[in-house]
Parts: sequence; structure tokens; C-alpha cells
Amino acid sequence: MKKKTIFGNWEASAIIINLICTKIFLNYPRLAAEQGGTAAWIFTIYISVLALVGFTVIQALYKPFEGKDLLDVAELAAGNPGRIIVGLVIIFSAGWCATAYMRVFSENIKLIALTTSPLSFVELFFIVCLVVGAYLGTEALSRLHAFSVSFIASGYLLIMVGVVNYIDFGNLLPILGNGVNEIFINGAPRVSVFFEMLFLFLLTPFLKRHGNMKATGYWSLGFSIFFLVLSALVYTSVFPYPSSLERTIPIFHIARLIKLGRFFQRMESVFLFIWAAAALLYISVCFYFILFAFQKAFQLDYYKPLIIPFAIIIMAVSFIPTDFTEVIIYEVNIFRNWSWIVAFVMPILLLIIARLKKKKPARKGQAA
Amino acid sequence: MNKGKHLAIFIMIAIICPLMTSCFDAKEVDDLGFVIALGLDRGKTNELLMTLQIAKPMASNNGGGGGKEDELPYATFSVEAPTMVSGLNMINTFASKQITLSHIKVVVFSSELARDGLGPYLHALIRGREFRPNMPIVVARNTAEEYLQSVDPKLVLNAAKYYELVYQSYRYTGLIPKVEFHDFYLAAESMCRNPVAILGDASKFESAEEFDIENSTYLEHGRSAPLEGDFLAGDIPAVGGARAENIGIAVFDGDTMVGELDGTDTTYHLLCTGDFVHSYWTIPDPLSEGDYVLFDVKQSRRPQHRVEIVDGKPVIHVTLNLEGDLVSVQSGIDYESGERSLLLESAMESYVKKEVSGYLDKTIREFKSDICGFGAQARGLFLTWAEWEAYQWNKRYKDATYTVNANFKIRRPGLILRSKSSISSESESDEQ
Repeated sequence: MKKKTIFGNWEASAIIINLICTKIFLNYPRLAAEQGGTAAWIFTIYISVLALVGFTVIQALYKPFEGKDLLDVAELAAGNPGRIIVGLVIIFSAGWCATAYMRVFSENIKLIALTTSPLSFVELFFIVCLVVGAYLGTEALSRLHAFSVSFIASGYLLIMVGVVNYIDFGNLLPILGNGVNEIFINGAPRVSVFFEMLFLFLLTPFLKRHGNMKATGYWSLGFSIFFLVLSALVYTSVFPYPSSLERTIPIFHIARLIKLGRFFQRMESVFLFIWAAAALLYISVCFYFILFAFQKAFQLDYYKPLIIPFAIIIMAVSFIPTDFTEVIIYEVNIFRNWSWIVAFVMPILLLIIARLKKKKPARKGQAA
Repeated sequence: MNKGKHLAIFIMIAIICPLMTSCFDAKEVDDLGFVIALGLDRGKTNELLMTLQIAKPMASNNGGGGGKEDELPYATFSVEAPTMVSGLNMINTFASKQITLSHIKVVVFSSELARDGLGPYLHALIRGREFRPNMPIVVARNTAEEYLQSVDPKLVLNAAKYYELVYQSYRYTGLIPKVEFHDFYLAAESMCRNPVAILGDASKFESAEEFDIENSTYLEHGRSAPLEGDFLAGDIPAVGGARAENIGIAVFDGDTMVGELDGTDTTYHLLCTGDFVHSYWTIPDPLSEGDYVLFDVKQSRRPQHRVEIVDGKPVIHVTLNLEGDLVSVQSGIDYESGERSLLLESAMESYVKKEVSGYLDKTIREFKSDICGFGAQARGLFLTWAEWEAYQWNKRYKDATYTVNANFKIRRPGLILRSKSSISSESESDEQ
């Protein structure tokens, strides 16, 4: 890993925004409706506040570790074993995301576009992209995100605006949806929706200053919250609860509704384009972070020899779930319930331990 | 260096070649048969009788110049099958092209099927990626097969365009409901409203000599002669154009059809749901019995619904805001301004109140089905979904009471500012 690569706040924000928001195209609006019912948007605001609080705590603790990524912090906190364990946790989490998303996106593409193509053929597109992305490295990925995310966001907003005829805010009633308990108590672990914030703490060496990391974090969270709340609000006001629980690909169903006159129809083609772009970028970045974490955890000089073997492993693992529903259970019911521990608790603990360790030699010095 | 360049070019060509062979799923447009209308009836030998209208591209594109005059722009296929998909499979065995539903414009169910419940078919339609959520749903009063066979578009050569236009006529007639499959499906699953479909049928009249008004609903509305909306589909005394008629509403409770409403009640349905755009209305002249006043009526604001729950029963308050332009005054009375204008507005408001009350009575007492979606307002009275679910709106709707308030304003008198009666030689002498 060449740490000399430095990129701006927008590039880093674009990566994080895409990582957090890709799930809008996949299943987030349905997940929000499952948890909050008609109050999906309140639920989204609630977990967004939790994510903001979590990030505020982490960035405050991060101040003394300017330019260090989470693996460096782990090493400071617990030495080599700490670095390796944290590295493996990140590899496992990023691997889970990459494989689950690759399978789900491929299955969805089979559902709506390439219906007769074999799944392996569809996944091959993803594999080619993530291999190329990993070969080109972080700088190319960040520049590509800076360019693409604005197009993806514009396409997404176009769909949200296009469906305005179908929006009925009456569908957001009863205002508390599934109830206070379901939203605020049982819904709290769903802050895992923001799991991908973890990757910001691997980008810190590329952002140099702590202020950049802080700004990137807040900007990316701000944009992501806006897009997530918008998706929950529009989806649940177009598809009333409990029909909102049925849709496999929520935003695709919204895009299919758009019909402005006889000429402006079948907007799902726009959806397909931005959806595929977001998914390819997501999986490429996840894959890159797997390699990055592996290289750093085991202090390897090069990561490029790992690309092909890891790509094959990712593809092979993505075939393990027997069916589409099983992947959804792994991704939504398991990962998005527990990954907050990795994204928020683990960094906070590491940063606290590293801070305590940092203070100890200073006290010794003062005593001497 | 040269070797490297050659190798790079070779690799690029090797990558590009397979990409140029087109997608794995590629299908030639010319090899596909595009279904534009699908009809479903109860079969004789199997569960379903499925009728497909498949567009004939050459017939649609002849621009009116080269094709045979009587040639229909579509071919019709019928098959009896256990399910829709198996029916498609069966048709694919003898149709020369592979059938695709991706351009389907309408789905027609027979009323027999609709009265038994459309649940199994709705799920197939929503799950299939080829069905569009914007396609209208029609219930044929007799059979869907007969309805589709009676579609013979005279004014457009493209059958797909015919379907796109004909179901938009609610915008300027108010005699059919605004229905899309998306809304129909959601309403069928909803706890706060019920779905409606367009009522269609083949006309029972072949020529003007056969005309009668036996089946008109004008007596139900307390009129001495039928107005334009006092018919159900198939009963309009009209010939020419397509024999397929669309007028009225098929009322559903969940996915099961429970009744029919005529064209007049359809207008009031559109008023109550806010889907009314504009149409010509004929109302009795308040000062001259036997004469009519014609308006071009529009909705000045969306209707306001307010729902209260009193002693556990729903109380619905509806306020309708209308405006209109005078189109014709048969009596020649000067209604354009002053007191008479106010009198006419007031007469119109009373007329609307009475007619809308009649319509609401039918939905509450006869059909017990909230097709206006008042339940959506009632939801706001509850804090959580569990409380709303426990109230069971759809079951309580039959106990609902209502008030209707109508505001009507005459905006423009048309191209005549003051009406004057015709002057004959007798009337002149009277004046002298």
C-alpha cells in the first residue's frame, strides 16, 4: 500500500456515500418498513441520529491518531495480535458485504434483466470489475467515485421526483407505525445500516489531517442520511404498509411506476444503469478493503498477487447460499443487526485502549 | 515494445469479440409477439379461458395508406389452461412468434371470475416482471373474450394506442374510473380502502333500430329520461366505432367484486376521490321544468375528507369544491349574473349533494365497501398500526354516517354574456 496517495474530502465522501447508500437500491426501504411500519422515516431518522452520535464519539477519540488507520490504532492498542485480529474482523465483515451484495445484485439482475443468463455469467461482470478496480488501486477508485456518485445521485433523485404523482403522505399514518418499542428499542441495532462508516477509518491515511476525516465523515453521513430518509419517505408513501413489505427491489418498483405522458415511460432503465454502477463501485471498494486489511494485518509488501485468488474466493463464497431468500436473511436479518458492534463499538474500544496506552509512557516520563 | 503492442491489441480484440456477439438473453424484436390485451374468463374444459390480442406490427404501421381497410391491427388467440403462464406456454406452441407480455396495455377479467375473487391472478400479475403497474384493469360484464373481440378501433390504426387513449377518457367524460393495476392491487390489500375496476362490455345493439333504454338506470336516479351517465357498459344506445363500451365501475371488496355502478355514480366517485378532471354535466333547470342547463364542470380544489369516530362508528365529512362554465341554457333564462346566477349555483350545490349522497349510500349500505378511501383519513386518528388494525375499518364502514358539503361557482358564461329568448312573430305580438 502506497500511503503517499492523498485524495480530497469529496472523493472520500463519495466512497462512503456510495457504500452506505447502495443498500437503498437493494433492500433498505423495505428494511425500514419492516422495522418502522408507516413510521419508516422516523426509524431512519432515529438510526441516523445514533450513527451521528457514534461517529462524533469516534472522531473525538481519533484526534491524537491523525493519519493512522484503524489497523494502526489496533496495533497501538494491542500490538501485533490486536492488528491481526482487527484485520481479520475487517476482512470478514467486508467479505460478508462483498459476497452478499454480489449474490443479491446478481440475483436481482437475473430477476429483472438477464433472466435466462446463468448466475455465474452475471457474477462474472462483477468479478471483472472488482479485479480491475483492485489492480488500479485506491486513487483510481476514489476518482471514479468522485465522478460517478454525482450521476448516480442525480438518477436516484430523478426517480424520486418522477414518482411524485403516486406519493400519498396519508400512507405515513398512523404516525408511530409499529410502535415506540419496535422503532426505538428493537430498531436501535439497525444502526448497522451505517456499518460502512467503518471504512472511513481505513481511509484516514489518505486524508492526512484529522479535520479532513471529520469533515468527510459528517458530509458523507449528511448526504447518506438525506438519501436514506428520502428513500424511506417516498417508498412508504407510494407503497402503503403492509404492501411495502412485499417488494423484492423497492426502488425498482418505484421506477416502474413513472409514466409522464405517453413518451416518458419505463424509467427502470435509468434505475438499472445507476443501480449497476452503484453496485459495481460498492463491491469493488469492499474487495479493495479486504486486500488492504489483509496486506496490512499480515504486513505484506504487495497486495496485487492476492487479487485473483481473493476474487475467486469471493465468487465461490457467494454461491454458498442455496437461494435468494437465504442471502436476504444473512444480509438483512443477521448482518444488519450485529455489524454495529464492528462499526462503532470496536473502534471506540480500540481508540480508548490506544489512548490509555499512549498516556502511560508519558506519565512514566513525567515521574522520571 | 512492438511485441507488447501487438499483444495488447490481440488481448483487446479477444475481449471485444465475445462482447460483440450480443447479450446471452438477446431477443430480436421481430421474433416476438407483443400481447396488447389479455382477457381472462372461467374456462369450460379447464380453470381459465385466456384470450390474447397480439399486435400485428405491419398493420399498426401502415399509416392508413397501404393496409386492407377491414384488417384488424391485431390477431386474437384463445386457449383454455389451468393458469395464465401455462396458457402462454400453450399458445407459444402454435403462435409463430414467442409471446411476450412486456407491452401489455390492459387486462380484462370477466365478472364471473371477478365475483369469485381475483386474488390468485393478482399475485401472478404483480410477481411477473413483464406486467406493467400502469395498465388498466377492466371487468367485462359478460365475458372478457367477447369484450376483446368487440374492440375494433376505427379512429386509430394502432391497437396499442387505442387502449392507451380509451382508458384515459375519465379525464374528459368522468364516466369511467381512473384505474391502474398498481392502485388496484394496493387497494385490494389495503385496510383503509377497496379497489374499483373499469366496467366494460360489448354493446348489445347492432343497429339504431334495436335501441332501447330498458336497462338504463335513470329511474333509480329519479329521472324521467336518461342522462348521459345513466347506463352500465353494454347498454348505451349507440352504434359505430368499437362495440366495446366502457362506462361505470366494478366495485370490489378486497379482491372480490361485489357490485356495479353506472356512469353517473362514477362521476361522483371521481369527485370524492379527487380524480375528477372535467366533464359536461346536464342538470335540471331550477326555474323551467323539463329544461336542462349544461355545465363544463371542473374540480376547483381536491375534495376534503374528515373522519371522526363517534361511539366506535365512523362519521365521514366530505367537502367538494367545484366550478363550472355555462355551456347551454335550454330555457334561455338569463343565468349569467346577479340573483339568478346565485340561484343556479345553489341549485347545482343541492343537486350535487343529493346525487353524491345517493352514491355514498350505495357504497355504505349496498356494497359495504370503502372505494373512496375514507379509511386513509381515519388512520390518522390512531397512533400505531396495531391500534388501527384492531379497529377493523373495512368491517366498520357499513356503520358509517356522512355529511356532504358542496361548493359550486359559475366562473364563465361561455361566449354569450346575456341570454335572450328566441323571438317569434307570436311573441312579438304578445309584447306589443
